Amino acid sequence: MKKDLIWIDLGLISYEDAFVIQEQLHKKCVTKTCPDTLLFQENYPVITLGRGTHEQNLLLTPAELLDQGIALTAVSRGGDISYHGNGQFIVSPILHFDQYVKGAHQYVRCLEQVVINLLAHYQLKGKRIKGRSGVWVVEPETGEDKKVSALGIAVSHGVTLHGISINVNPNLDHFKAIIPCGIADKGVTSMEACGCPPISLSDLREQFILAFDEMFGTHTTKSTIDEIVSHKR
Amino acid sequence: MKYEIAIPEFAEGAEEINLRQWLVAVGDTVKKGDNIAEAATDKISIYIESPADGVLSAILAQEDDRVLVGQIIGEIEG
Repeated sequence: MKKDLIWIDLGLISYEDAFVIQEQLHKKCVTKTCPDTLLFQENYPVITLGRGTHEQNLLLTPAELLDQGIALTAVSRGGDISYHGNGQFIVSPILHFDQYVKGAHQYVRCLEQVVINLLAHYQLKGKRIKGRSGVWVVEPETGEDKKVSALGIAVSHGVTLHGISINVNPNLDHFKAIIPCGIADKGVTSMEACGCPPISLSDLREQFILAFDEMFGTHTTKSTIDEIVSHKR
Repeated sequence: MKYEIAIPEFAEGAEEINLRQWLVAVGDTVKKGDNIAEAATDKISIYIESPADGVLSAILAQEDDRVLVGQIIGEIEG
């Protein structure tokens, strides 16, 4: 029998506001007062510093970032430095991962496979690169491997936080403020830069849910944050 | 009674796990289920819970140490 999940889309929201909601949902999920959830969002430009951040991977000062309209914040996920901004698809699965897969490592690999399958729907060939997390594509213009999707998760009380970002059509110049994920010799690209026609984030969300449900054997239906906040069992 | 704090089994499969930080100090009182330490792989932050009510009596792995699944990193006297 398929396990029921819900999805909630926060739309365009600041990273900080979305993280407050994510933590609230996480607490409810831990106490099983809300179902496992896929939380979607798009953020205003922000650079996030993961627990494994190396300072040298931030290439601009906070003042220089501010000039470009990019915020800076420390976060509780694993991994190094990341950028989020308009035109980037973000999903945070908040779920009891061990009910779907064996171990956090396998969970991460399954999430990567969901992204690879999703990219295939848009005629893009995503791949893993050994020793490097996330999903990569060969950029047609340069013929180089570039990262199109980054990943970083946290596990607390058996329930996951954070998740995946996929570059749909973000301002790629903003990535020049950092060495993304601390990987200096490989660049970042987007689905559109690889030849995808314009894609709406809502279409991508629908396809992501299909790919996720297929991978994890789940059945995911729409909810809203208001329904969850008022949710009682 | 002494309770061991171990790196959880669900971290199995990661190439490398580091003990990122202790969230409590020796002598601190903790409750069962409290997050008391954080370990990390390259992409996963793992919060480690106290196995019992009690006091953190020993730290057996230091911050930034490389650790293994199942390794005992501390003890709770409960």
